[in-house]
Amino acid sequence: MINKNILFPVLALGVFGACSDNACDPVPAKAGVHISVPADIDISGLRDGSLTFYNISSGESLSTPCGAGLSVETMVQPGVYNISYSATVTLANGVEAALRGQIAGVQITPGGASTTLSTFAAVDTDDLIISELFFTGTLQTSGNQYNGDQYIKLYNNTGHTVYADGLTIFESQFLTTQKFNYTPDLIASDVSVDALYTIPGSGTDYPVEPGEELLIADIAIDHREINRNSFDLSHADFEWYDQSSTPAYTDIDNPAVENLDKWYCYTLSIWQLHNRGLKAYGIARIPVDKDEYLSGYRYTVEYDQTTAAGTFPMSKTCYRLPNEWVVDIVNCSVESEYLWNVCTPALDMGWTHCGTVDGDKNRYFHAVRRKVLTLGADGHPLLSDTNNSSQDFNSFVTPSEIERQGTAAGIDGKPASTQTYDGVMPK
Amino acid sequence: MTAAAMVAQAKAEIAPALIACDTLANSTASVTLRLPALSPWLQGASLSAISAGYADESFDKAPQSAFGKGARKGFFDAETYLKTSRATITGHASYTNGKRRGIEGCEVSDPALIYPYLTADTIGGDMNTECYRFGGSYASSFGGGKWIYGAELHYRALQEYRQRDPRPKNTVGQLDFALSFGRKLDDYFVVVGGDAYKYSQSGSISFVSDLGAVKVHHLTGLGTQYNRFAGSNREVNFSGWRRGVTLAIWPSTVGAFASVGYHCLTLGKVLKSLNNLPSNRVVDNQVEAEAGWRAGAWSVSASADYNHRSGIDNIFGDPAGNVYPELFSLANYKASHISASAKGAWRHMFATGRLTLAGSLSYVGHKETYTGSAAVRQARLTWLRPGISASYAGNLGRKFILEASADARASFVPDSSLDGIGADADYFGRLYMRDFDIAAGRSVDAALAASLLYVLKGDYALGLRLSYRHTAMSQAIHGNAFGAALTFKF
Repeated sequence: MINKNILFPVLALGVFGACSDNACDPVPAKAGVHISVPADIDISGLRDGSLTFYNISSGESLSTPCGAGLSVETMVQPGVYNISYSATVTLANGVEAALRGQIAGVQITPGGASTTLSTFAAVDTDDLIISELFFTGTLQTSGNQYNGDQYIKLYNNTGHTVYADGLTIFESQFLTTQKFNYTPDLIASDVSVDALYTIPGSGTDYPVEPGEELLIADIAIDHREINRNSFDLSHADFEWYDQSSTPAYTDIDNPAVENLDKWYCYTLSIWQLHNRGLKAYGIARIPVDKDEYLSGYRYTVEYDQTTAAGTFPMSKTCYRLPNEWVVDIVNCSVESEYLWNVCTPALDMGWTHCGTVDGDKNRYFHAVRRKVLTLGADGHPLLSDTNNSSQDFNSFVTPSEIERQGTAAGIDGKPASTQTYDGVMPK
Repeated sequence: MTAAAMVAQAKAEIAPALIACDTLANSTASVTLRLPALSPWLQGASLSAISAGYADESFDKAPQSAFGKGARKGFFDAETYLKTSRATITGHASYTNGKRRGIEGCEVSDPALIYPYLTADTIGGDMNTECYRFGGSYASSFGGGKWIYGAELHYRALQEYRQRDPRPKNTVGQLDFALSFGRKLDDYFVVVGGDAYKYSQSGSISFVSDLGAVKVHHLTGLGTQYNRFAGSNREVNFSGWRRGVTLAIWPSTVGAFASVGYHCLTLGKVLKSLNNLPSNRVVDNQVEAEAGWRAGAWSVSASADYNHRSGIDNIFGDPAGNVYPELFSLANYKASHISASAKGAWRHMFATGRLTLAGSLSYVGHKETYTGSAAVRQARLTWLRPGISASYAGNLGRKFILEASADARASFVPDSSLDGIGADADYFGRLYMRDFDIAAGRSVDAALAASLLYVLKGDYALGLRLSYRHTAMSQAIHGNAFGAALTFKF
């Protein structure tokens, strides 16, 4: 009898079984990175290399200096990493340039992993840059969202006059918060776009002097007449105007302000910047005329969307913009929702944002503004332009127009009282 | 003195089984007596009680931020312990409604159970809480008393919520079941039992204020978080089950008792808004043992408990197609908790009452580590915890029975260390450091409780119970707890 009484718990233990975690111990794993340098760059001029491993699970970064080395091995915690590289290189013409590269979603398993990271020399386009994006809009005193006072500012960061004629403003087709396996995947060669508006002119009609900016508004009117929490955009240089086919959503045209030439927009009503900032915005010099572009650069992208109800094949038709035409691009997202950059790292290695969570009501009355590096001898700000929007932009700051006009900086109507160059650096 | 003799004496000299029902002395065998087949030894006589009351506990600062600064609650409770000639039956049902105050770094319920995978924000606040419990057990014997058996079933439903932003709403369901059998060998029963519970919690956090929302964070232990999913993933589910076996030896009258048990818990966390993404899971293994001696008027025991908890973070690849492919799992969080205790209780029966004295001394060692961050975070704590208690129950005149108890406990920390978290830690890291500093400090508490029962007729009594506890902790934290309840016993 005793034996039976002892036997039972032993059997029971066997039936229940001990709980095992079936997981790997998080001992550091070997991460090997081979840095691939473009063939036209002499690697003997390479120096000050640095690799940064960003663990997307923990949010922690680890930087490893690698000098002139092109094969680097380091120990990191297993995980999924965004790996970025930066170095200084002396080009054949003697000019020093930044060599950069980034690769996202590298899986470093407990057994280790190795990857190849392609780099590119940062190219100065010697053209206008985007200095500010005000996509969030304002709120009315009732708390309702107010549309129409969004704007984009372009800035001449060069030392010479730049003509804005023919410069195209575009919006990315894809969201930075939603990623699919797109077919075809053109990200290495093109930016997929869903809106294109071009500054008119014959080539020398719209000069922008060094340190000057262009204000491009959605609706170039004094918005305070409609929403006392908004501000005046009637002095804008351009506005984008849409002939809406939807009576409920019509645009307002200020005849005193020149309209951009609308090449294409995905909507038949009115185009507004994504007011949560989930897209990328850029400027491009398109070397072909409108008709040729619209007929030759349209394509259909296919992907699978998985929901709780199953997986569904989807497709979208949009336009592609070759990377070499892109003058500047700024990836925007929401801190909590960001998944990817919708362009190659050669164009933008980072992203900027307004608000911290999706639908953040604090985002209104805020903009992203390019950082000022220094003030030039002529007093003009020299803006940061490293093709990394995370580093180049001050995120979630007061828009310059609100600062300058001293208008409402929030729904409470309290006016902005500080003046800054870039949302942070005081004047 | 046997329980039966004690009851006989009690009935002869003083009222009521009220006095014979001494549960304090049973505290020395708290692990062993968990087996439902041994429920006939829990009390010396039948007793049922219906209570309604109010309790309020408040601290200057939260001793542990996830648990808050105390709670106030109103409650209704009914319990019965019924001995018949054939069986021992227990039952209980309760409802509590109140508010937990000043919670930080936790917007989910049952933080101790699901730790380290709390869901949190940087605001926190009070939490309304409403809990229903009911259950019961049945124990009997057959074969002329050579075989004993018992079964137990309990259910708990909990709802916690807040009516200002952030607005968590958590719903918990837990079903416990235990079954045990024993065989009498000479004067001892050898008892084996199995127990299990199924647990589920559904939680969501909403924001309705015009001021907007803040990020919701999914913590991973020692102030770390799953940064990738911080933000708007506000709906979570926890589900898991615990199972275990216990083997015990129990004297039919007096003598040695011993038990050893093993339990394991597996519990997973799912982020509902990401296509039910299984982000983390907990695996918890526990071994506990107890041995002692039970005499008629006294009992002593020694017990030990070892608990090991693994916290596993699932690592996911590129979420193309709205689905996160699971790549591998890392046991980033590890906690081991060991305790050893010695307890003793002594009971003396007077002609008009009962006096029970009890004492205990515990050693507790706790170590937890998070290795998923660049700098390994580790906390170690050792506590030494002495405690004494005394209770008296006796007649006060012909119509009244007085029950009074006093206890005092202290906690000393001979050794503690915290590594890997610095002053540059984020909000949750700093919160953890604050909690650690409090836990690493000394604390003492003392409690008094008294109830006056008016004997209505026979074994019926109506009474009022009042209680007070004062706690003094490091960092000048003080806590006071008051309780008042009206009780009808029969």
